[in-house]
Amino acid sequence: MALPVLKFIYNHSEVDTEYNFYTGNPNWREINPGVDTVIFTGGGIGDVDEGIGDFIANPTLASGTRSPTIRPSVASYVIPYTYVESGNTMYMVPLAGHTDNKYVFGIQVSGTIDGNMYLEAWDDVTFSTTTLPVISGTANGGYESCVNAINTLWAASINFGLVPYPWDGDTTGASYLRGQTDRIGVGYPLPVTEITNTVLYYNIYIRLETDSPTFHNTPVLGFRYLYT
Amino acid sequence: MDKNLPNFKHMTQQEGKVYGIHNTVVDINPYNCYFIAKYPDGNIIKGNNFFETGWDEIPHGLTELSYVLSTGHIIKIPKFKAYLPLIECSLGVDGSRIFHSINVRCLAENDIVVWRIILKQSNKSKLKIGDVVLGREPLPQTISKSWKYTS
Repeated sequence: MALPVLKFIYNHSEVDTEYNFYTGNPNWREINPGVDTVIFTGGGIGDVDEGIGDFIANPTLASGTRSPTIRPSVASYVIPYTYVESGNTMYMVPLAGHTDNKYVFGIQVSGTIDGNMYLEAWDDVTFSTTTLPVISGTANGGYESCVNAINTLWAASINFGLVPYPWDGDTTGASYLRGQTDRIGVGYPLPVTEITNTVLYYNIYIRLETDSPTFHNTPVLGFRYLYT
Repeated sequence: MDKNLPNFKHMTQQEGKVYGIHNTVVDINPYNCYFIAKYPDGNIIKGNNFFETGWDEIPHGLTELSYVLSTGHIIKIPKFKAYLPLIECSLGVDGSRIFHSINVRCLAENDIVVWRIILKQSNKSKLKIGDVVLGREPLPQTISKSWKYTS
């Protein structure tokens, strides 16, 4: 074997269907590494608290600029919108976030990985420190990372086929992403002894606490794996 | 296959530097690291690099396994019944990549001995490139086809 080829993909539609390894799916797009950026935005001072799905009230969509999320004053708050910015275009990921959808983000694995593959969050491209506020968390959040991620197929497999909702980093199959200690295995089904030529799925969101500092962080999401 | 390393700066034949917010990591040059397998008839097979290792193409029956790192370190693995070297790597959604270690799983009588060869170093870690950390694991329930048996 050789270094497996990973393709990062996302569901650009509101239809919760999978990506076929061989034929793809027109509802899905590829994240171009080094060019595209995953953006968590919305819930700003000019926003109506519209909830996911009401695009018109989303100032990011209306103005073409990222809407800074306001720090919540009463209760924790999930940043409502997720985009993939590619050049001058911001592609919405409507199923992403604090939802019960299965097929939101994916990784197409071409080749073979030994054991499981893990999604981790780090400060930067050294993959060595976890000090950013969004990863450190705050007292009100129990000093857990603000980044919640879930292996949707695994979580659904133990919940009558449905992704449990609401879910957070404590849900089985999920974690508050922070370095190598707090991460999710994205392989499925369990136990994962090998991953070969398949597509794996996850969902992710960021929850801000009332004591969050104000920040603009750019952590690195990365996948750790073993190969021969 | 994507062999691009956008986060590596000042890449030399020996190593590449990766700059972060709080830390600078020195990683091996993955283009210049390979294994060497020796056979009873005197043949020697040299692996390629960390992108196309060539491990799965070599025959069983080797008598000696060693790794040559770009930094000049040569790590010779003692003889066991079989070997499965697994490279531990991280790939960021932004295309950045780090090679952490080679985890050489060695089949012993009653368990698996793991020779973990370190491939990166920084001022945040006591481990340096070329250091070896030994560990043990229980015997696996299944043996993958990538295991290579010794003579």
